[in-house]
Amino acid sequence: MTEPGAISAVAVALLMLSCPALSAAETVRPSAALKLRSAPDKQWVPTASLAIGSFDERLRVRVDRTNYDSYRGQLRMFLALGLAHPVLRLPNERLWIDGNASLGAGPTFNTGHWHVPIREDVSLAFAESRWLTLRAGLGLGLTIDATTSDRSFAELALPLGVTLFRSIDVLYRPMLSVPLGRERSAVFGGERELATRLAVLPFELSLRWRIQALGW
Amino acid sequence: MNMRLPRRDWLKLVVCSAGGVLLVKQGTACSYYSAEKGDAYAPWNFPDGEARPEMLAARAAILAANPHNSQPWALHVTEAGIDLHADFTRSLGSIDSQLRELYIGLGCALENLVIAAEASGRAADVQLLPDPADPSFVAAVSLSPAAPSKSPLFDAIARRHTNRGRYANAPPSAELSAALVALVTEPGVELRFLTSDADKASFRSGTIDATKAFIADPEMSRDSNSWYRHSADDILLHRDGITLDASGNGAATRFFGKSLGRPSDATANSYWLAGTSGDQTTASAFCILSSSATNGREEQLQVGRVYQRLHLWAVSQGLAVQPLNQMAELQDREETKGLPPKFAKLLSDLMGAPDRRAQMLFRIGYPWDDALKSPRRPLDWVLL
Repeated sequence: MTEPGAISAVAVALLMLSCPALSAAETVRPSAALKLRSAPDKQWVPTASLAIGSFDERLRVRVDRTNYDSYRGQLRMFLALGLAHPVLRLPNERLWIDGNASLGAGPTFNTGHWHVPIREDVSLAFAESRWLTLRAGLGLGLTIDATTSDRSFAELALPLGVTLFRSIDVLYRPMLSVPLGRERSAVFGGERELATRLAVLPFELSLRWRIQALGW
Repeated sequence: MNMRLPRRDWLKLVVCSAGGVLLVKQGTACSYYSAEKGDAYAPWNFPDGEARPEMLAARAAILAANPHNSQPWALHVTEAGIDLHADFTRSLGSIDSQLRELYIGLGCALENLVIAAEASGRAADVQLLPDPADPSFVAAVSLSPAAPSKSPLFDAIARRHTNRGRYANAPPSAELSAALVALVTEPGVELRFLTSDADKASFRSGTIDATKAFIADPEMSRDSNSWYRHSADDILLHRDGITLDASGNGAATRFFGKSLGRPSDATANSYWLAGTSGDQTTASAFCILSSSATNGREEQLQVGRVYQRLHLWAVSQGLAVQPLNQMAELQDREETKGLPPKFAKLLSDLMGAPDRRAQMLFRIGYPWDDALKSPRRPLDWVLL
């Protein structure tokens, strides 16, 4: 069994690794510490994230020249590596636009297929405080179903979230899924077609770690 | 007390903690195994270049549908023919108290045997129950040279698996009933095809009620779960029975099911009931194969032959099939124990023919996902 305390210790350790070290000046000069920072010093920062979300599939059976559709949702989870990068500096130093390009891989819960999401998210970021940045943006993506490529789909997303301590992103990413293929086969009296559903997918949460120590 | 650690020490702590977590996890996850891999599934490599007609036919026979994957058969194979025997040590006990399902399974094996023999250039002359004094001697099949007659059903032998997953919410083609009935050529065997909402609801609720009654019967529950093979070692050792991979559950459920250890009978029963109340009663149609009320062994063998033929044909047409025999099992149980004939009456009502005996119940439809293979005992384990 893993003790909760051990998990907490690991979490704190990860946070410590990812945060830039506080300088002595920041700890002894309250006025300077309170000053809000503008866009992060390191513009290019590798990221690692864990996401869980759902997606929908549609089974269409065309029998005797009539279509019958059935739907199901299933969960998926994936790990992704990426690179946070600058996009645009704005006149207000608390406001900037940045992006994150990522490549992930993970299984779907029902079918056991392997999904490979390739994404580029661009966010408008607002430094609410020294430790909290609010962000909202647009994301484009492509999920390749590595098991059955006909079930791949494109993503148009609205990532919303926060960045904590300039290191941990907590993101909610609803999206529109657009099927890029259909798996078709003949059945008695017609045809069977299986694809990702053209649908709004309201659920995806991810935790992204900005590895500041590796940034530049 | 100063609790600050230098960053290098934090890194060590993280690496050690992660390693510890992995070790702990390994203790629970090591029982996971891949689906359809290993010697237990080797017989599905069919025909695998087999050129001897009698061996091809025998290898086809062991891939047949059968109750609880008990594979209750034994074969005596010569160039001139094959004798099919029942292995009564592999009966399901209280689940199949009249050995009805055992004989149906043997009928399924016989159908595969005949299809494969004819495909490999042998005419198969079948004599059912050739020795009235020996109920285990199920069929004597004489093989004689003939022109090869390879039907689409032969190609479906290695692809036929019971699909316990969810089926589409779609009605059957208007021509499906006639196509299935045309395959029922055995005298005395009839197919009842249920597609109306009322009939389907009645079949569904009857099956769920029968599952509840089954689970509530300690003897039936025990006899059923004794055929459950949980671990890779179990599967390799026995090469029979019900497995998680063939259960129709999703990938994550199978993964965690394998990793978390064998469930208790109560847990397994609750999963079965949930499956029956959900995915396993989705269907385009429910079907009942029946015999005369005589309910004889020969009729049960004929029902088995018909069921296997229907299932092979369904696979060749992109359709999925799953036996749902709970009501028939409870009907037998009621008779054996002298209980009120609740399920016998329900089946009679569903068939609309009080003079018929329900033998084999199944659902048919358009599957969401492909079915996974069940383990099989190799031919040399069942040769006499």
